[in-house]
Parts: sequence; C-alpha cells; structure tokens
Amino acid sequence: MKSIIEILNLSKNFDNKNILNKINLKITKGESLVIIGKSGSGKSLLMKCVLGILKPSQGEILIKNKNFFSVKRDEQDLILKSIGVTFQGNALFDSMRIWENISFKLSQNNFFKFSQLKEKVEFSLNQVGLSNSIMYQFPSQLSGGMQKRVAIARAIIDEPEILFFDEPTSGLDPVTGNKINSLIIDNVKRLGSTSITITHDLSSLNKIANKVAMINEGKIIWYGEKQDLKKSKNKTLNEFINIDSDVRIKT
Amino acid sequence: MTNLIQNLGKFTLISLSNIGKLIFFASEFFYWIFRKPFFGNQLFRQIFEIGYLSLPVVGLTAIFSGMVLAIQSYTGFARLGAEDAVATVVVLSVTRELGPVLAGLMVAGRVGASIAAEIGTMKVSEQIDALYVMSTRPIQFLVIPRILAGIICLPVLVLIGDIIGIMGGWIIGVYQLGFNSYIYIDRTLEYLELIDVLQGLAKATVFGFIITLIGCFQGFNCGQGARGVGKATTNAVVISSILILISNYFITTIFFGN
Ligand SMILES: Nc1ncnc2c1ncn2[C@@H]1O[C@H](COP(=O)(O)OP(=O)(O)OP(=O)(O)O)[C@@H](O)[C@H]1O
Ligand SMILES: [Mg+2]
Repeated sequence: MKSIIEILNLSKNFDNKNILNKINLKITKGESLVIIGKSGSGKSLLMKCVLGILKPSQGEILIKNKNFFSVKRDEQDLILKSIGVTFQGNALFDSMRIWENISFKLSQNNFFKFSQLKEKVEFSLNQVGLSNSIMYQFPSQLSGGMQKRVAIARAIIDEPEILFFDEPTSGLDPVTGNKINSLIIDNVKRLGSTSITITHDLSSLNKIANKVAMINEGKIIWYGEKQDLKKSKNKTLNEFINIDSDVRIKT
Repeated sequence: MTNLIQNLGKFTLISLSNIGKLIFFASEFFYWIFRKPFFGNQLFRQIFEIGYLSLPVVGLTAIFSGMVLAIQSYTGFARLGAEDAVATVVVLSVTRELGPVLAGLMVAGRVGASIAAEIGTMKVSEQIDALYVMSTRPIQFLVIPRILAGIICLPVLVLIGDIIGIMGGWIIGVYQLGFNSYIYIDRTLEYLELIDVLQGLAKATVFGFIITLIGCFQGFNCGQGARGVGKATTNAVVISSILILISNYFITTIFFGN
C-alpha cells in the first residue's frame, strides 16, 4: 500500500534533552491512525514535527513523498494546503469572529465573495452540528465543546486529504466526547481523508482507529491493527488500556 | 568571586545571543515586507489600535508637559530677567525633545506591552502554529502590519502632540503669566525652524519602529504559559523605553551634534 506520510528515524531534542527518539511510522492513504500515550510522552511534539512547525533534530519526514524541509516554500504551501489540523488547545484566533476563524484558510488562499464564504462556513458548521447563529460570536463566548467543534469545522472547510486531531475529546464530558468522536468519523469518511488522531481517551481509540501506535518516553513501543491490541504482551500498553477499563467497570 | 565572573560571562553570552536574534528578526521584517501577500486590512486595524487609540494618552501627556514647561521656564528665566523667552523655550523643547520622547515612552507602555501580550498569548495557545499550518506566514500577518503601523502612526501622533503641547504652553502663558496672546504666538513661530520639527518626526519614526519591533520580538520569543507572557510584556516595555532614550541621544547628535 502507498504511504501518504512516512516518518523515518525522527528524533527531536530540546536543550540536549531527548524528547522523541528514532520514531519510524508509515501512514497509509485512507487509514485512521490513533496515537496514544501518557501525558508528556511527545505526541503533540511528533505532530508538530510532521507539520513542519518544529524542525526535527534528526531524521526525515515525507508527506506525499516530499521532504517538507527540503522543498521550496510554494511546495510547502501545497503540502500544507492538503492538511487540516485541530490543536490540543483548539488554537482558535481569539481576535476573530467564528466565521472568520472557519473561513481563514479559504480567504488566505483564494479569492471568494463574502456570500460564497458564508455559504461554505454554514455548511462546515452544519457538518459539526453547530447552528449558524454563532457565526458572528467570538471564540471566548463559546463553551469548550463548541470551541472543539469550531476547530474541527475550521480544519475540514477545504476538504483536506489529511486530518490531524490533537486530543479532540480532552476536557469534555463523555456524552459530548462521544459526539465529537462520531463527528470525526463521519467527516473523515465523507471526505475520504487519512486521519491521525492523538488521544488518551480509550473510547476515541475504540471508535476511530483502525491502526494504533503507542508512544512512551519518545519511542514507539507498539504499533499495529486495532484488533491486535488485546493480544499485545507489552506491559506499558496493557497497563494503559486496562486502567481505563477498570474505571469503566466500576462506574 | 568566580561565581560572579561566571554569572557575568553567562549574562554577556545571553545578551549577545538575544541581540543576534533581534537583528535576525529585524532583517526578516525587511526581507518579507517586499513580498506578497500584503495584509492591508490588518494594517488598517493596527493603525486604528496603535495610532487612533493612543491619541488620548499622547494628547494628555503633551498638554500637561507644555503647561509645566511654561511655568518652569517662566519662574526660572525670571531670575535672569528673560521671561520673554518662555514661548521660544516651550516650542523648541516640545518639538525637539519632549514631544517625541514622551509620546514614544507613553506609546511604548501602551502599545509595546499590548503587542507583546497579544502575540505572546497567540504563541502559547498555539494560534501562531495554526496560522502557519494554514499557509500564512506569521511575520507577514502579524509583524509587518504592526511595525508599519508604528512607523506611520508615531510621527502623526508626535505632530499632534507638538501642537497640543504648544497650546498648553500658550494657555499658561496667556491666562496665568499674563502674556499677550499675539506676542506669545509670534515668539513661538519666530525662532522655530523646519529642522526642529523634522528632527522630532525623524525621532518619532525611529521610536515607532523600535516599539513595535521589540513588542513583536518579545511576543514571538515568549516563554511558556502565563508567566512567559507576563515577562515578555515587561521586557517589551523596559527594553523599548531604554532603546528610545539611547537612540534619542544618537539622533540628536546626528542633527545638532556640531
Ligand atoms: N517547545 C518546547 N520546548 C521545550 N520542551 C518542549 C517543547 N515542546 C514540548 N516540549 C517537551 O516535550 C515533552 C513532550 O511534550 P508533548 O506536548 O509532545 O506531550 P504530549 O504527549 O502531547 O502530552 P499531553 O498528552 O499532555 O498533551 C514534554 O516534556 C515537554 O516539556
Ligand atoms: Mg499533547
């Protein structure tokens, strides 16, 4: 199968401290990879390296067979255009209204009339289950769950080939979290995108994943199909999965 | 003792590396300013924020400085029997020094701090990363409009401040010190030369650049969390104020040094 993202021997250090350690990962077109791992294991950092926000200390990243750091700016733009991202803290622009946030990518890259933009924003809002009435509000006026939805609406507006979700359900109640999971699945399916979801929420893992990678202390310690998770003999992974099921049985 | 030397060495190295970073940051500004896209609507927004909203602060500073200056120079010159020089002293001090320097310092406090805080917050909340993944260069979207607005607005603010400051002197001169209004205005204009005003405006342009550049630089290099933003804000105000005073000396020397 053709891989759309290839991570080769990626390491990242900060002030001589090694955070990511020789990561190798292939992501195939159309698959839904979920990356799990403890807090501080380097998940968000891995995403930022793949997106070219941070330069790796070592190793290579190929997106659609192109090495981000060795191609020209125009090509970087093209690569970035095919990617949609939601950040861990949503990263909505708090000086802009919701519609400006959602249409930002479109209005930077193309010239649209306001009515066209508005139509696209409305469509995107509906895809994430929000009403058009919030268009003219500011991000700070929305609840955390609504902000997550707006962040997803912003990521999907130009129908990207690749979607990144960094902890899409963290800080949400289980019901809302579950709705967000469904939204992600529906939209990824609708767009036929490849998705990479970072999470420590096991229900997200169960719903979204077909491939799973676990990071621990900057290394990939397990990688495989979701159904093989149960067969794993890796202690750290089993601990991670079982703690959560204990909690769920008790409650 | 060795500890002291060690710390001194460390401090010097950190300062040098920061100066290097600042020079690099400034050169990025000059590199990207001539490249597309240009965010005109952001420029207008910043002109509003930096220029228009600074008017009250600059105006108030100017009028009271002009008034104090008139009283001080009157009482001072009275000892020499040179009270007539009040109008001239006021107009020259305001246009050459007080106008640009006080406006610069006030705007550094108001605008420098808010730029550093806004950009710093955007950095710690990943909004700058978000800009970047949406193919928008943060330097073009955030930095260039702010610095340009600073360079455009400060001279205008100073010009307005000059006029208000001179009016402050006139109010005191005429209503408190008993000068004849016509004579006061005549004296004001008699010794004022174009170069005095131009020098003030040149200073203002440089100050505008310094304030916005340092504000943006501190925001982009802000540390983690709310603490990082707080520190960036303080640094922006302190560093730009000091640079304003230092560059003020050099510009004065260039214009009137010999
Ligand atoms: N810009 C940075 N400078 C220095 N250290 C950093 C930076 N970014 C991340 N780190 C360090 O890298 C480590 C991994 O951070 P990362 O944000 O990737 O964790 P994470 O796996 O996403 O955790 P969480 O689940 O809590 O989000 C942390 O110890 C963090 O301190
Ligand atoms: Mg994270």
